[in-house]
Amino acid sequence: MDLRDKLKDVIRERGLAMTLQESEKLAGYVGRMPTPLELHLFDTMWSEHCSYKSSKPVLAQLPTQASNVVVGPGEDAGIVRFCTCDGVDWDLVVAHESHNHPSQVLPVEGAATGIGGIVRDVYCMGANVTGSLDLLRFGNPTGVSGERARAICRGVIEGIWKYGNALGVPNLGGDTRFHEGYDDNCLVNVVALGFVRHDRIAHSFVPEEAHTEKYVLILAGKSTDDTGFGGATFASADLSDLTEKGAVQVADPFLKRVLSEANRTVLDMLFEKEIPFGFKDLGAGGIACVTSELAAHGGLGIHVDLDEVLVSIQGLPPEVIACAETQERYGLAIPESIAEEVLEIYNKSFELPRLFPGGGASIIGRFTKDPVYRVIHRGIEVACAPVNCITEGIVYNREWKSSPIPLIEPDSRPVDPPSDLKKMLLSPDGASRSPIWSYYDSEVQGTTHFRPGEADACVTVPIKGCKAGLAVSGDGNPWYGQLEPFLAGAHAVGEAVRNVVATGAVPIAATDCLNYGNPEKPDVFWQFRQGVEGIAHACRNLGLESEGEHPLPIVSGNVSFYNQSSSGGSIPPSPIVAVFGRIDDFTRATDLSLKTPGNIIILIGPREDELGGSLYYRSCLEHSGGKVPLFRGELEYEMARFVLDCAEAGISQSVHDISEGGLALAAVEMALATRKDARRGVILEKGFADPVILYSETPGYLIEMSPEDWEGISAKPDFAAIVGKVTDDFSISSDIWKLELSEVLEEYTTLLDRIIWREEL
Amino acid sequence: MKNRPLVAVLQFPGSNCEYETASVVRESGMDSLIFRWNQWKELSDSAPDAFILPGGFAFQDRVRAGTVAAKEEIMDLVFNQAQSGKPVLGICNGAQILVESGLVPGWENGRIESALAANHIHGRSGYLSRWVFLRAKKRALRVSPWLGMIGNSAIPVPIAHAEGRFVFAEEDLHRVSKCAALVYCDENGVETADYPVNPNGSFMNLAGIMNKEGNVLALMPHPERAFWMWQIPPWVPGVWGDRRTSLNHDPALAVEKGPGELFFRSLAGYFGLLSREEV
Amino acid sequence: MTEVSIAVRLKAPDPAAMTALSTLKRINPATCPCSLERYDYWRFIKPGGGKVTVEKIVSHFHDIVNPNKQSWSFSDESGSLHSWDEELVWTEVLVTDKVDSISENWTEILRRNKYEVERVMYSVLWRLGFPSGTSIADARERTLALTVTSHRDHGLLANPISQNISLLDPV
Repeated sequence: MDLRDKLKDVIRERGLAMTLQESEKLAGYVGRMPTPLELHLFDTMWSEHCSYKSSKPVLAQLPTQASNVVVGPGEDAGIVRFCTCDGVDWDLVVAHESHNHPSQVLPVEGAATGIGGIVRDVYCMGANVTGSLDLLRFGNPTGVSGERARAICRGVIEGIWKYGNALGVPNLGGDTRFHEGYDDNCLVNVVALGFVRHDRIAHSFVPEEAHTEKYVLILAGKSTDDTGFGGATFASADLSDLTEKGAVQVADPFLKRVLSEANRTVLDMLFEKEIPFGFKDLGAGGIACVTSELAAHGGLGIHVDLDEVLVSIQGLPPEVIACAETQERYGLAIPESIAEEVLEIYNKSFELPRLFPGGGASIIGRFTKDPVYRVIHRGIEVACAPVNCITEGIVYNREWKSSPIPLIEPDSRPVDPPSDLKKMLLSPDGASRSPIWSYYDSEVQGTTHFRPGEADACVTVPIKGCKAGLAVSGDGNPWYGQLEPFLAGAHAVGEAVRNVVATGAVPIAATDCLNYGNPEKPDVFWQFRQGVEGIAHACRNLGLESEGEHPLPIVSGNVSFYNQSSSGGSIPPSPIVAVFGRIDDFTRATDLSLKTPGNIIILIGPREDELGGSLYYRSCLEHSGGKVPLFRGELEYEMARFVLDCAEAGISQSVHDISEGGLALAAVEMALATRKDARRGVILEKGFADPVILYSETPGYLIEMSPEDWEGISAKPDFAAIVGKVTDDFSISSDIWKLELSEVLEEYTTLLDRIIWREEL
Repeated sequence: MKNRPLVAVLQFPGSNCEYETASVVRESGMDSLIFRWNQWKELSDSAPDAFILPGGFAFQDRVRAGTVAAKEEIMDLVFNQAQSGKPVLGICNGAQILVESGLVPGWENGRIESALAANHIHGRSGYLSRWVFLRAKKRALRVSPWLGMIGNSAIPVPIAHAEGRFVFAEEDLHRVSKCAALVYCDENGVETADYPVNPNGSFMNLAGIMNKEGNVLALMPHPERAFWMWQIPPWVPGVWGDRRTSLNHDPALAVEKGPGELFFRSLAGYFGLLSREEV
Repeated sequence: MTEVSIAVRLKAPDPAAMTALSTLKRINPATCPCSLERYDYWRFIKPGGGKVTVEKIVSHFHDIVNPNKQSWSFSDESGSLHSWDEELVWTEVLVTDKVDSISENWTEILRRNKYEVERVMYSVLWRLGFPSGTSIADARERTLALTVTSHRDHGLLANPISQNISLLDPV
């Protein structure tokens, strides 16, 4: 049998995702038939998930550099400068990933390990994790596959609270949307953020010093088992076979919390003693990836002894020990001279072996000057490859074909505001998210100023003794994706920026997760390219921090392909973006609840006839429409600048961005957010019964301010105008219609509870 | 010489509110140190003046919230110190540990006399995060070192738990009112057993119970998350809501203390750290 | 049929069982079991259609059993789920919250979805394996002692104030 046939056989037998060509490339690197361990290692390294082999050439157009960027995409998380407090420079660390496929199969565990993975990415930069967000896309809960969609939604939220709450990381919201395009493939995107002292950033490669001093690799955490075996390649194959569950990991938040405390102690000790180290979490590809990458990125070789790995199942084959994706583990490269002290912290001070029987920390490898990746099991060499081939990527230039959707608008657009607004408020997309947030712990760590739903973005005060506030929001509209992939990308950035700006914070960085179907299909790859172009375009327009000099940098992110059903239908193109902002004095942050009767409401952003994908079309006309709002970059920038100026002047009493449901729904939401013993409402200007004015989702903002403050603005921009007045009547009205909000409040607040958790349909 | 009272905050495997809890103790004029579950000797040597068991998920609530942590050796020390009259506060998961160690209600030494059972809410199970109002019982205000400054009005604080419903044995019901420390109520101080005023179906609307002597308090809500005015949600009703609203965009929002601070100020008062006006 | 019950177990090692066992070993080294298994236990009271109905419910609601992570069987045939260690002497104890939203909610959901079940009751079933040579009576006595948390030094698996505890008959 020649090599080619042998490779063909082994790919089939082991269920590898790599192509024959890729396996031949590997055989070329090692100069023989690759070992099983090498095959599994490279299967992971060259998976779409790890290698970005399809997306890399397209992603190159994303703006990733700006003057505040410390670490751009490439390491586990991105880092930007945040603030200086008492002479200490603090940096913001952010990461963003998807855990879509595992969550479809095992919603609780999938969502839990999604948080686990992303939080580890931030921890391993040396940061304290101070927040996470979940960006969720489920199938239509009342549609043909509603039963499954509801069960998955329940499960995912259970996974988030059971894991995230236990971890002690406050949940800073995110968003949840329902669309039948996700019936067979939900999306669970997770963002984590944290803070690190600028002089204490940890890096995921063995340091320079290892060339002259003996360095060892410590593996710390849960004992290795077979549960995650194959997980990374799993994320890159379609969901046709739901029996593929060995691939899903079991999360252990309790161990993770203790491990994080132990890591903190170890890292602090290393920094205090000024000992250089490398630190990396274990994710896809397990031990094999972490050891090879720590070594390769530091220009060294490594000699790994699998017999030193703490395992919970005896007799595992070497490729399983090396590649299993057991959760809650970290790899640490340190000088041999300090190893005993470090092991003592993990195993004695924090008692990992007692708390997780079989777990703990042990030395599993030694770095070598010889640039070879070598793995030994029972005295036999089970992998031997030159390290440079590990860092050498793999790239495909995928074909793409422009496939725009024809524009179809509804024939007529009847308007009856009280009834339209009720329909929108009482739809799964328009209803209050509070039933979901009620499961999340948004206040642990005691740093939260605005919880989910209180303002357009969550605001926290993360650094003790420092007045700088962090605002964060994540967005992405699947209906825009379905109709116009470019605008979906642009508006994902635009809306997240608006949410952050509405609180009075200046956007300083963004992350993205690009969720699409099969990139081998030219129309899907076109959607992907369009989405990335949209994001890049919007980021270039919204460099607010540098006053336009630099773009808004994308500092971390993830691509998730193969989101499709067994029948091959792709999800709606779903670029999801998170934006992070800073407000120098958090006491100036603005929430969305109406404050004072007699105040006026200013509309920022003229309304345009572009209701494609709008909540009004979907809820009231059962039509998707075609003409999605344009992204007007310069105007977006100017509007945001104006909102920030008002915030700085302290004249905005409440602010809400205009998105789903348009101006009318935005005003209603501002009223619904008021204190129950100080209810407020809105009277709109005369004659407002036009769908474009009321419901168009053209980007914009509503700002509440006193008439005097409005008069005091000397240069009023032409995109700003008075549209209504705040009243002490809990309603929304114009001269010809009125909706009492007390009529809808209860149903609006409990709708998702009833549909999702109580199965009341 | 020790010039400020030392409050020990215990860290069990899986605790997650220890840092912010220790921090608000310091903000209240006392010293605070975090002790790991196995730092028995260090804890004993430093002779703390009071103990706090913070919130979190000790042992991930496995088997039953609080029960595994209650068996940790360090709890023997807490038990003895509590017996000797030292103030002990369990917040949320800490309260669950106190109940599972038999420290509260503590009618009979070491006997388990209460449970913090799973929330009982119509149509809902699992974890619940929510802001509630609390009112302290008269006797508790008098005897508990944690409640002296609470006053008679309703105070807003958040809850965040899946197992927070106080339950007692039939034969003990006659004496439950003696251990009642805090109850759930509305913003006007009116008690009802209805959700969401009583957010978990707790017996007698109990949010916190204490031992006979009053020095040990098991409290389900999180006062450390309502320590500063800026932690109070903008939509909170009532008097505290008025204060919060009046601080909108005011730099004082950063430094004004919130309702949760009263618990820690009470302890400072107990240690004689407050001036006459403050008391 | 007046009642059909099912036992559900994780395919992966159950972390709660692991922690429970290591805790028992620490606090009661002399009497603790060598093996401990944990099951979700669902009782369906008066199911019209008996096991067929329950089978339908189980295959419908992945919240109750997700076949991707759990195995289940009817409790009267649950032998297939157990890790039979012939050497050990096994006991089973059922722990049920006296008041329980999970059971109430599922009763309502099933009613709303037109399943003929009068009531659903959720419990946790613990299965304890004692060293060979332990008499059945001794094993049962130890099981109760390890289960009923009456004092800070006694018992772990159930709090009798809020939970009903029933020792099942030997299989």
